[in-house]
Amino acid sequence: MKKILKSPVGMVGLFLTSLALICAIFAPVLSPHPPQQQNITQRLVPPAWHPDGTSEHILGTDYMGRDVLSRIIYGSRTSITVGITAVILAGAIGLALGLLSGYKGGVWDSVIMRFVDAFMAIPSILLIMLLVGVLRPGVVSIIIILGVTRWITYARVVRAEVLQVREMDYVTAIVSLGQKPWKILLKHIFPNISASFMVVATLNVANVIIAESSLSFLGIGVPHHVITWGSMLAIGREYISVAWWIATFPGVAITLTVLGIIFLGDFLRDTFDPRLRG
Amino acid sequence: MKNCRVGLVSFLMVLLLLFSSGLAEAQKLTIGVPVDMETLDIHDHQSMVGEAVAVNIYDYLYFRDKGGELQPALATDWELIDDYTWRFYLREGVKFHNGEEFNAQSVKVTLERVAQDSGLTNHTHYSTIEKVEIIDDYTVDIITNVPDPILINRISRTGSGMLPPEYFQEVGMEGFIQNPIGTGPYKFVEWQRDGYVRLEVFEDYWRGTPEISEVEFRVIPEASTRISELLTGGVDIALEIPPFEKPRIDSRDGKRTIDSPTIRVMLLYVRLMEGYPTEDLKIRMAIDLAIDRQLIIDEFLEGAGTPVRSRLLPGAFGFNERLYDVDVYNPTRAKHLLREAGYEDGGPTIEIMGPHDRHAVDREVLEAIGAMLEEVGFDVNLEILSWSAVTSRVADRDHSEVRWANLANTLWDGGLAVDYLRYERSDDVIGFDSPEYSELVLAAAQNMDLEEREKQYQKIAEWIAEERLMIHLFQLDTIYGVDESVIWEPRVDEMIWVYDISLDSED
Amino acid sequence: MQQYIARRLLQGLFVIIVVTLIIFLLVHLGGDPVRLMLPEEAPEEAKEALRIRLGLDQPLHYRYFLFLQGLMRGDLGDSFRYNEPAVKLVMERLPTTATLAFLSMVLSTLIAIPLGILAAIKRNTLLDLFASSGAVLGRAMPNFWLGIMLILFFAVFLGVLPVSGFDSPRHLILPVITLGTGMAATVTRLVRSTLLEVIGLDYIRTARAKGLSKRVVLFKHALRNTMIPVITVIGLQVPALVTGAVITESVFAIPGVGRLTVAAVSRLDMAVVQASVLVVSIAVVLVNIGIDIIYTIIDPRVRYD
Repeated sequence: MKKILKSPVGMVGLFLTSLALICAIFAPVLSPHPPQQQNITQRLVPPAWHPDGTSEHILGTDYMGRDVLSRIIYGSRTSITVGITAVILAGAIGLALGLLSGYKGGVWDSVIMRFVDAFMAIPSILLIMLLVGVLRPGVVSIIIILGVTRWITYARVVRAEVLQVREMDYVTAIVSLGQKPWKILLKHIFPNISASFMVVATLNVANVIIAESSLSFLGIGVPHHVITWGSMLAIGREYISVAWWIATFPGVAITLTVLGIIFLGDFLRDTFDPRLRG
Repeated sequence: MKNCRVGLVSFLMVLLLLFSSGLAEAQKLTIGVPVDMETLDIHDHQSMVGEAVAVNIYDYLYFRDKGGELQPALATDWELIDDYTWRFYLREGVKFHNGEEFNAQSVKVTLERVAQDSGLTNHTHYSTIEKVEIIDDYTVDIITNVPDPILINRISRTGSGMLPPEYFQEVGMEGFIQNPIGTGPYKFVEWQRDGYVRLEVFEDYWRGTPEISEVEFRVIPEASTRISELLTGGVDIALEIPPFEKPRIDSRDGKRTIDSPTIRVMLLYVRLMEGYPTEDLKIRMAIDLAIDRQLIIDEFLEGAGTPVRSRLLPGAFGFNERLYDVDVYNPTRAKHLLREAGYEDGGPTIEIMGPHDRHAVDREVLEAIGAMLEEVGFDVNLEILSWSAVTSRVADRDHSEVRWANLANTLWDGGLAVDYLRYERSDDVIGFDSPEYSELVLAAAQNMDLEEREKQYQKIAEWIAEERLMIHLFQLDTIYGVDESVIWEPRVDEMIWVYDISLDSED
Repeated sequence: MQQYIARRLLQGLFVIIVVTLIIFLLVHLGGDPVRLMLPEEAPEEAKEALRIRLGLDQPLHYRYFLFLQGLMRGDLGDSFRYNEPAVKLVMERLPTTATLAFLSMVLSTLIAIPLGILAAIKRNTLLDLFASSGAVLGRAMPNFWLGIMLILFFAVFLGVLPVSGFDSPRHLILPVITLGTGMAATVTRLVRSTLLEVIGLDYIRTARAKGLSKRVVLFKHALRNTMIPVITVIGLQVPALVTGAVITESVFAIPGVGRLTVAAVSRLDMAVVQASVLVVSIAVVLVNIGIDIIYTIIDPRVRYD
C-alpha cells in the first residue's frame, strides 16, 4: 500500500480504474437522465460550456437527443463487463492449456503449441467475420468471440513461466520429494506466474474494450440497445464533423480507463514480479 | 536569321498553347461511390451502383429521361402486333466500341440470354420473353409467353444493355467481362475491384461525342472519407451524403449539395399470419398512425423525403395521387386502437428488424420509429443489424413482426410494387394467404388493357393502404455533394448518366 | 543449420494443417455450410453443385480431405457475387495489404525501440510516464478513429496530404501512420519491460559489478538480449496488423484483402471470407517461418531453440 503512494504511475492507475468501476456500479444514481430517453427535437445539443449548450446536458446530446453523459456512465457497465469477462474466459482457457503444456510437456506440449501457433496466425477479425454467419449478434457472442480469439497469449506466457519455474532448484527438489503435482502447481508454480499473468490480463482488458469498438465500426458489434463506449464511439464517428462530442467523450472514457488499467498492471508487475525486485 | 529564331520561338509557343489547351479540353470527372459494383455482367447483378456505371457503357432500346419518361434510344419506334408480339424498329448506323454494327442480331443475343438462363439475377425480370425473332437487320419481334403489358419497361433498364453479338459469341461472357463492349458514350478501360472503374470517351457515339472525356468511379465506403475527398477536390461528385452533413458542404466555397428525389421508398413489412400481434388490423393501423413521418423527414432527412402510403411514385404505372404526400399521423387514435384491440394498459410487444448499413440515416429512423411506437403504448424491441444479418434471418424465416425495407421500383410499374405480397411469392415471410389478392395481382400483371390495368393497380394500392398490408413511410431523396464546376441535374433513377454532365472549365 | 530450417518448415506445415482444420471445423460444424456459403436467393442448381463439391453426404473426415485437396489446387470455391475463384480474388489483393502492413511495421519499430529504451532507463520518472501514456494513447485509439482524425487534420484542415486511395507514396503516409501507431505502442511497452527485466538479470549485475560503465553494459549486453524477444514479438504482431489493416483499408478506401472481406461479409459471400482467412493465415505462418530463419542466420545462438 505504501508503495502505491510513492509511484505516480500506480496512483494514476488506481484512481482511473476506481473511477470507472464506481461509474459502473452506481450508474443509476450517478446518471442525470435515463440513458435511452430520446428527445428528437433536442438532437445534437453541444456540451454545457458551449454557447448553445444547456446545463441540462453537461456533455451534450447525441443524434437521437439522448444525454451523452448518462450514456457514458451506463456504458461503463457493459464495456467493463465485456472487457473483464472476455479476459477471464481467455485467461481460463489459456491458463489451463498453458499449465498442461508446460507441466506435462512431450506430445501434450507439441499439440497444444501447434494449436497456439495456428490460432496466432489467424487474424482475429477475419475469424470473427467468418463466424458472423454462424453466431447470433449479442453481448454473449461478443464475449465468446473476443475471449476465444485471445487465449493464446495466456497459454504462451503461462507455459513459458511454468517451464522456467519447473527448472528452478527448489521445485525440482519438491518434485523429487514426491509431492502431488497439483499441489506443486498451486503452491509453487502459480504464485510465480501470477505477476506476468496479471500484466497480460490488464493489457488484454484494454484491448478487448477497443476491439469491441472496431466490431461496431464494421457493423458486427453489440446489439443496438446495449450501450457500450465502443459502439458510442463507432456510431458517433459518423457525426464527427457536426457534433464532435458524441464520439469524443466516449473516446476519452475509453482512453482514461485503458490508461488506468494498464498503469495499474505496470505497477503491479514492477512491484510484485520477483525478477524485478531489489 | 533573327526573324527565323523569332519565328521558331513563336511557332513553339503556338504549339505549346495548342498542347496546353488540348490538355484543358481533356476533362476528367471523378465520382465517389459508397459501394463497388458487383460484376460487369449486366444480366447478373442487382445493384444500383452497378447500373449507374453500366448505363454509360451500354444503351437500352428505350431510355428514360431525367424525370423518368421513356424516350427512344437504340430503338426508334415500336408497335404492338398482338398481345404476345412487340415489334421494335432499330436505329441504323449505330456502332459498338469495337466497330461492330448494332443490328437485330444484337437484340436477339442480349435478350435471349437473360430470358433463358434462370441462373442470372436479372432473369426474373425477363422471364416473360419467349424469344426474339429477326424480321430484317433493323426490325425485331419480341415474342412473350404471356401477355406482358410492361415489356417496354423491361427493355429500358439494366439487363437490356445491348451486347455486340459477334464479339460476345466469340469470347463468351467470361471473356466479355474482361473487356466489355457496348454502344454507350463511354468505353470501359479498367476495373480495380473495390478501387475504381475507369471509362473513356467513345468518339463515335451515335448521340454525338460526350463532353467529358474521362470518367472514374471511385469506391469510398466511409461517408466521412467521401466528403473529405469532395472538399479537397479528390472527387467532383460524391454520392450518398448523410443529410446532417449538408450544411458542412454547402458552407464550403466552391462546393454544394443537390437534393434529388429517387424511386426508392422506405416501408415496413408486417407479418399478417396467425400468431403475430400484427395479424390484427387494429394493431397495424396503430403502428401506421403512431409514426410522425413529417418529423422524421424534417429532423433526420433535412426535409429530403415525402410521406407516402404506397410504393408507386409519380411517373410509375398505377400511381395513385391520393396515396402520395399524405401523412396519417394521429397518435391519439393509435392509442384508442390499441385499447380497442384489447391492450388496456400497454400495447403488445413487437419486434422491429432493420439494417443500419444500407443508407445514411437508417439507424436513426429506426430508433425514432421505435420511440414513437412506445409513445402510444407499444412495447418495442428494436433489432438493428447489419444488412447481411437481416437477409440471412429472413431467409431462415427467423424474424419478427415488423421488418424495415428500402426499395427501388426499377420497372416503374405497379406489378413490381405489389407482387411480393402474393402468398406464392412471400409465403410465411409475410403470410398473406388471400387467393383474391393473388388473382387480382396476376390479372393486372397480364392485362393489355392499360386503362383498366391502371385502375387495377390503384385499387390494389388502396387495398394495401387501407388494410395496412404494408406500412409505407416515405419516398427518399438522395443527396449528392458536388463541386461547383459540375453542371448536372441528377436523375430520379439515380443513374449517373455522364453524357448529361459537363464541367465548367473556367473554374 | 539446414536441419533447423527443415525442422522449422515441417513445423510450419503442421501449423498450416492445424489452421485449415480449425477453419474447416468452424465452417462445417457451425451449421449448414451451403447456407453459409451461398445466399438464400442463389439458384437451387448452384446449391446442389456446392453440396456435391463439399461432399456433404460424406463423413466429416472425407469432407476435410476434399477441402484439403481443393486447397492444394488453390480452389476454395467461387465467389458468388464476383463469379470468380475466391482464392484468385484474395491473391490479387494480398500485395496491397502486405505493403501497408510491412511499411507500418517498419515505421512503428523505428519509433518504438528508442522510445521504449528511454522509458526503461528513466523508469518511474515523468519521462517514463509520458512515454507510457503516449503508448497507451496509441493503443486506446481505435484505428478507424485515428484514421478519420488524421484525414480531417492533414487532408481537410491543412490540405497537405491526399485523403484516400493507394496510388502514390504520398497516399500511403496517413494509412501507414494509422496502422503503425497501435503496433508502435505495443512494441514501446515491450521494449521497456523486456529491458527492465534484462537489466535485473544476474549477468548484467555482474557486468556492472565488474566496473563496466552503465552505458557499455546497456548497449553491449542488455540491449542485445532485449532485441531477441522484441523481434520475435514483432513477428507475432503480424496478425494484429492484418486486423488493423481491415479497418484502415475501410477508412482510406484502399482495395486490399480487408476491404474485400468486409464487402464479402456484407454480401454474405462467405466463400471469399473463408478464402481470405485461409490465405492470410497461411501467409502469416510463412512470414513467421521466414523471420525465424533469417533470424537464425543473424544470431546463431537461437538455433537450438
